[in-house]
Amino acid sequence: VNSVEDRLRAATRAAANTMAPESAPPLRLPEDHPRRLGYRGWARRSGHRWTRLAIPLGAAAAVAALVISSVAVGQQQRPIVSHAAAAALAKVPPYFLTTGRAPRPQHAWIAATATGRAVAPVPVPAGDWVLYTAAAGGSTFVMVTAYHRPSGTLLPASVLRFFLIRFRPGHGTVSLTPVTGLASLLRAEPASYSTGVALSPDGSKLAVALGVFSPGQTVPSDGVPRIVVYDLDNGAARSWSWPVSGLRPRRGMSATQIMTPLQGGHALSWAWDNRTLAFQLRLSTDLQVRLLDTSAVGDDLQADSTLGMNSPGFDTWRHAGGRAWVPVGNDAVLTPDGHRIVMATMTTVAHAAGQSPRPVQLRIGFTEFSARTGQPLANLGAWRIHGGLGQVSDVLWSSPSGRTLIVLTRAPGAPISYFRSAGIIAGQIIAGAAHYRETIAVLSDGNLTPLRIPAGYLGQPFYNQVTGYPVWPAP
Amino acid sequence: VDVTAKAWQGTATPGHGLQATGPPIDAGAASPAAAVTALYEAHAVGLIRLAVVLLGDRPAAEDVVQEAFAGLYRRWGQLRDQSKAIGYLRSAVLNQCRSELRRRRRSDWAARRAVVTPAGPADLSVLIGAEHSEVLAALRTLPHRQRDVLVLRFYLELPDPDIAAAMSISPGTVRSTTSRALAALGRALKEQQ
Repeated sequence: VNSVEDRLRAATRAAANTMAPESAPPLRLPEDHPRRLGYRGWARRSGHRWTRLAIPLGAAAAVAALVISSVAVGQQQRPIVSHAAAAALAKVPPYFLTTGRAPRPQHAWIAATATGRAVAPVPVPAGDWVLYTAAAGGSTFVMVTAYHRPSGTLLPASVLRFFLIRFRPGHGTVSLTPVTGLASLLRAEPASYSTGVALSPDGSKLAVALGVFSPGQTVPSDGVPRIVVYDLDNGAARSWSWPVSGLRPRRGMSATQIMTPLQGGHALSWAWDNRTLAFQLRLSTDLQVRLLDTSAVGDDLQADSTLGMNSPGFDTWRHAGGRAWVPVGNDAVLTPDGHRIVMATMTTVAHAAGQSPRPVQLRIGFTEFSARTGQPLANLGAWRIHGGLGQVSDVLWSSPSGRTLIVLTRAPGAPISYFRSAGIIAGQIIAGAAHYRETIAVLSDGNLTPLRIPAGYLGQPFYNQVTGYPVWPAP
Repeated sequence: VDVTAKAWQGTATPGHGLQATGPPIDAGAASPAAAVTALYEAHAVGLIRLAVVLLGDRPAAEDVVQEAFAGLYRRWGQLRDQSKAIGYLRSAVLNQCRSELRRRRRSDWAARRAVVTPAGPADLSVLIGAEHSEVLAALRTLPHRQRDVLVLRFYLELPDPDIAAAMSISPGTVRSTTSRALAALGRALKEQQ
C-alpha cells in the first residue's frame, strides 16, 4: 500500500505533467511602468507631509471598496464569451483532438473548442504521436503513433500504428480501435516515411502520403512520392505513385514530395464527396495543389490528378522584394464543397535581403483560390505585421464554403520579441524555433476570434514530422 | 507591453520543472521588462505547474502566474535583491492560489444557495485519472497553510528553510505543520473511501 506521501508525490506530479514544458502562454506585462519608488519614497520626494497619511488611508479605503465589490461580483455569473466570439464558435465544430507535446508519456484528449478544456481522455498507448485527422460529425478521429523512433532520422512508415478513435459527446466516452491492416501494409516499407494522413468525411477511408528516404538520412531523398488510400471497412488499399519522369531534381534535397505541413496542417484534405483528395506537392520551387479522384482507375499520381493551383516559386517571396502573393505555411486546404482552395498567403511590403532574419513589413492573411482555375477569388482577411523568415500561418479547418476557417496565425499587432528562422528557405531545412506569438483563432467575415487553445511553440523541425496542433472534424 | 515567452527547455526537469535557482539571469543589467521576461522564460512553466497542482485548473493557473509576474514587474524597483525574485514569485503564486480558492469557495457557496451545481475544473481529473484526482481533492480540503506546506515539501521537494521563506513562517512551524497536514490528508483520504 502506498503511503500518503507517495500518493501525494504521484498525484501532484501527474497534475503538473499535464502542463508541457514549452506551452507557457506569452507573458503580458502591464502597460504602466514599474515603480522605482514605493509610496513612501514618492512621499519623501514630493515633500508633502499629508501624502504620508493620505496614501495609506486611500489604499485602505480602496482595499475596503475592493473587498465589498469582489464579494458582490463573486456572486454574479461572469460572462464566458462575447457575442462576437459566441457567433464565431457557433460556426466551428464543438470538439477537437489534441495531445500534449512533452514530456512523455504524453496525454491525448478530446477537448471543447469553446473553452479549450479536455472533456475526455484518449487512452492511446504512449508513443510519439505524430499525425492525426478527423472525419465529419465530430465523433471519429484517427491518431497515428510511432514507436521505436530511430534517433535523428526520418520516421519510417513501418513503425507507425494507427488508432481509430470514436468519441460519444453525449456520454463523454472514447473507444479506441487499432487499424492493424494499414500498419501491416506499411511495415513492409522501411524506406518510406509519412508526411500526412487524412480521414475521409464519412470516416470510411484513410489516405496516407508517403515519401522515400534512405535509412540513416535526415532529409528526404529523390524518391517517388505516393499516396495510399486504405478502406477502413474492408481493408482494401489503393496506391498512386508520382512517375519518375515527373520528378524535378533540385540541389540539396528532394525536390518532389508531398509536403509535410511544417506545423501541423494538412498535406492532404478530402472533399465532401469522399472521392476527391487534395494533396500539396512540392515540385522544385513550385508548390502545387492537385486533386486526385480516388474512385477513378489508375495508379499514376500525376496523370490521374488535376492541377488545382500552382504557386510559382515557393521561395520567391525571398527574392521578390516587391509585392507578391506567396504561400506561407504549405497548408492549402480543399474546402469540403470541393470548389475552392484556402491557404495562408503573404505579401511582402518591405524587403529583407537574403536569408537574414531581419524584420520586414509583411501583410499576412488567408486567400481563397478557385480549385478549377487556380485564380485567387477572395481575400478572407489580411493584416500587416512585422517579421520575416519563419512566419507560420496555417489553415487548420475549413467550413464547407471556406468562408469560416480555424487558423494558426499571428494576430494583427502582435509584436515579435524573439526572432529566429524556421522552415524551408531556398530549399534548405532551417531547423530553428520561431518564437512569434501565434494564435489559434476562428477567421470569419474578416474577423479573427482567438480561441483559448494554446498554440504552443512552433518550429518543430521539418523532418521530425511532428504535427502537434489540434484537429477538428470535417463539417 | 506584450512579450513572447520562450520555452527554456533545458531547465525543465521531469518532475516539477521549477528549479530552486534556475538559469543565470542577468537581471541587474537588463531593463525591468527584459529582466522579468527572462525570469518568465526560465520559470513560468514550473510556476504554472505549481499553480496547476494547487488549483487543478490550467487556465486559472496561467492567470495566477501572469498576475505574479505582473506584480513583480510593478515592484521591480523595490526589489532589493533581484536574485531573490524567484522566491518572491513563488510566494506570490501561493498567495494568488489561496485567493483564487477562496473566491471559488464563495462562488460555490453562492451557487449552492441558488441550487445550481458549480462547474468544477473537470479538466485535470479527466487527464490524470480518478486515483490522483482523489488525492488532490483531499489536498484542497486542507487549511491553506497545510496545503501549501505539503505541496512545497512533496511536490517541489523544497527544504524546510526554503518552505519557511516562501510561507513567511519559521522552520519549526514548517515541520509541525507538515506533520499535522499529513495526518489530516490521511484522514481525508480515508473518508473518501
